[in-house]
Amino acid sequence: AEVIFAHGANPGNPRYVAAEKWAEVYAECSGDTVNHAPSATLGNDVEMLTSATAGVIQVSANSQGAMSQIVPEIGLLGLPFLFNDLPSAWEVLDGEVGDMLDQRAQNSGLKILGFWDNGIRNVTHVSKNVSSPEDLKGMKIRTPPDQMTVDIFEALGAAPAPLAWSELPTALQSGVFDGQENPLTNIYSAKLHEITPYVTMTGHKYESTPVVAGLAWWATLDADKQECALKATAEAGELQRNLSQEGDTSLPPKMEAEGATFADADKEAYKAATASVYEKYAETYPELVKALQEATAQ
Amino acid sequence: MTGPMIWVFFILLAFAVPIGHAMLGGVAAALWLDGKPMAVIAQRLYTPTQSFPMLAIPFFILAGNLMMSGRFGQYLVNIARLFVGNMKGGLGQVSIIGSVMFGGVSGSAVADASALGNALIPVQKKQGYPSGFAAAVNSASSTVSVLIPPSIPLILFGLVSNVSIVDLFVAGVLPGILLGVGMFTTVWWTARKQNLPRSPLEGGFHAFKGQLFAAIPALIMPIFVIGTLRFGIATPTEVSVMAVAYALLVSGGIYRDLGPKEIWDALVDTAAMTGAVMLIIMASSTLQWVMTAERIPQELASWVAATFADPWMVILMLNLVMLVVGAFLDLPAAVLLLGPLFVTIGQSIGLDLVQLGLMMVVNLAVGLYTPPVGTTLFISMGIADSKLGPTVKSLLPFYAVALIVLMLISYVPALTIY
Amino acid sequence: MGNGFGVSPNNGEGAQTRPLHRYVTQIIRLIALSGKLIAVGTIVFMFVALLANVVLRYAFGSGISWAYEIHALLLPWLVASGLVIAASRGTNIAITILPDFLPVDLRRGLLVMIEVAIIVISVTVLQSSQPILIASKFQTLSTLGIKQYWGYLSLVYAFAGMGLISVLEILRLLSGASVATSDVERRSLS
Ligand code: NA
Ligand code: NA
Repeated sequence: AEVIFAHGANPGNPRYVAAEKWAEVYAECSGDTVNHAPSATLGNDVEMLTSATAGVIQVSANSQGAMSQIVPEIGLLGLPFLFNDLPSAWEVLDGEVGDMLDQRAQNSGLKILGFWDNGIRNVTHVSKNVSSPEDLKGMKIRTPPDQMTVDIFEALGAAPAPLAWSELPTALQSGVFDGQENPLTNIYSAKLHEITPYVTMTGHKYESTPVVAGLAWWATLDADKQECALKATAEAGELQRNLSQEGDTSLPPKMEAEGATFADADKEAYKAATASVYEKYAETYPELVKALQEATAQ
Repeated sequence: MTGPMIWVFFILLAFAVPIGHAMLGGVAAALWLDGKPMAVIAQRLYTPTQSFPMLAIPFFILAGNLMMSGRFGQYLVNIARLFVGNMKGGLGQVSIIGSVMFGGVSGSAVADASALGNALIPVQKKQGYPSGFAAAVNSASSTVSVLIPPSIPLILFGLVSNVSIVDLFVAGVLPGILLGVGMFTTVWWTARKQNLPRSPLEGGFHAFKGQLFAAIPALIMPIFVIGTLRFGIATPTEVSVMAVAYALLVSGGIYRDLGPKEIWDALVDTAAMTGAVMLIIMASSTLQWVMTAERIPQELASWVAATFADPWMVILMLNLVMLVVGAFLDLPAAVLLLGPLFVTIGQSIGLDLVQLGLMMVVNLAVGLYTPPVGTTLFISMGIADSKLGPTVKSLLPFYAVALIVLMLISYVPALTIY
Repeated sequence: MGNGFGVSPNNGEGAQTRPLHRYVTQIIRLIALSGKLIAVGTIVFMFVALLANVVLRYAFGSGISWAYEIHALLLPWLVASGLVIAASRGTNIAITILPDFLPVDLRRGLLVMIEVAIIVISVTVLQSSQPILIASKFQTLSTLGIKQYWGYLSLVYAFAGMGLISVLEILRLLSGASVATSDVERRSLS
């Protein structure tokens, strides 16, 4: 049988590398052939989820934002300054919280095979570093169409507005926006640091890459093949998490050499300024927000 | 899968099934024969409607519809006549200048061909222009309006290629003006040879002052569109919305020729046009799923790379393919059909995608006035009541001009990349 | 009428004299009216929302966050309504070399075949949309909180509408409607 593994990343991106690895491990373990479809050629993240549910594709390395349209709780992983570092995020995702999210996803026709990374997000600005929340006041900042991100920047007093990724470089050049926020790997690959050279390591939000399968397809697999899919996801995930972490340490010097100016952020001040976001989400998901805060507090 | 898909598509097309349905028929046959899930069709049909930048298309169409529903068209012709009417073949020149100005309001060559054609061709014929020549000038010059922003084909290319629409719009201005100048020269040359009459505006500037003043706000629209985009006031979709507001303001407030009925008609026509364009966009998105699932673009690109030694040969091949396809297919359909393949090939030879986009639109726009299927050609011939033979003969110098501009854009990157 | 021909409800020869003809034309008009109402509603709503958003963003620094998501629901409906209107006018884009060269009787036969092809294709699309409709019940637009299902329903409206218009069109063709050659201008969108 042919298994289509689809995702939105281009060659060179850690997600692409991990998808290759997934295809290799799963094909060898199960005897199925894997059709690796990168670069959103089979649809964007939201569409890939519908496709997986409907059986058009089998597996997708997806995004937290798109997944939260189906399992809103997944969006909570992006609460501001929730995780201090990547390993503490992995610990939570590979534990009970991950299992709970998988249960919710299964109610909607999707099986979560595991969580890869999408990195921690940082702010770039056209003319200044934004070390303290005051520096963000009134800043026109581009965000993805993601409610949590919009909420964070509204709490910080900025003026966030969503925009298509393809229009972003031109919009930054022409001054529609003062800046944007993304993980360093995205910033580097799109050369956004050439237009917005002031990079502040705000680390305001973590994002995972949920790897999901269509539940209908998953149910047809025998136990051995299910094991193969989980194993492929875990092994490729380890590779991807390492690449993603490596990028965070190797990219700043590279980008500085190309003219970027890095600065750290006053995390305590940022945390205080975004506390209202926790309050907002705790109204709808009191237990999960509390559980997440406790799991990451140690 | 791709083989049967293409066969079924072409057979349905030849039997005059609408292009969008023909594509869907081909895709359905291919999926069915291959045992692939049919749900692909519904899924991919829906995809293009989820794009925020795609919203710019209905709003730019609406802005053009609102603007042209009233007196503006006549004012525009009078302004052009004031400046170039006094030349030999002045009304031919008016058609070209008019198209350049009209281009700033409308994103569609067909709207241009019918609006200016209806205003100018009857007058040209009365003054002794050969009907074939009148049709030729109108059908060729109207294509300038898909280069001067806003432009529906350029938006479509931006969406299939992930290239910034703003960059494409900005890059379209110079080729649009080049084409305009080339065609202006053609008319000047023909008019001298055939001794076509001068047609100055009656009453001259004094009779016209009031109209000039009234037309200024409408003429400022292209500057407004480019300006807001270039200087980062807003994104293309937002600019399209502001263009509608502007058109409402100008047509409603200054010309006072927009009643509830005109607005209702403009809205309904906009939806019908949007639907017809989007069906092709949506259907080609299903078609692309089949091709991508079989990695056709990549394989075609590597075949092209292995077969042709130099990038200039690849560019020449792309142009030849487009001239043939453009002869048969309408411009937006051809952009959508070829765009994804050409982007892959273009990237493999390091061609700038903004340049490729302009190359595609300039090339495929020639197809609008080449037989066997040419929409601006047929519209113009219909208005002029001319025969195909003499019209095509009059078009020969226009083809030459378009090919020269096409070669310049294909081989001189500086014309489209700043 | 979907096939790109100038067989519009207004110019069918002798249309007034045949009751079947009149009923069919009335039904097509009714379907078209539903499209027009949806079209005007969706365009006006999106126009007002987006314009207000731009103004608010520049005047007060923060816009309406759902303005960026409303198209995900309304653009599909605008398109669907446009497809139905276009089909009722016969303005879908086609290559009409073959029918233009055929004598009237053969042309009528070909037009009927084209409508049949459109019906088959529309029904295929409707069938193919079932799994997607089910999947979309689980997806909620993040800002608006509305299910994607309501957007996907527009596909059902569009293809059921186009298929139905083609059925009615066959009735009209068989009862002797005019099969004048195509009206190029209305059909192209370049
Ligand atoms: Na234009
Ligand atoms: Na042609």
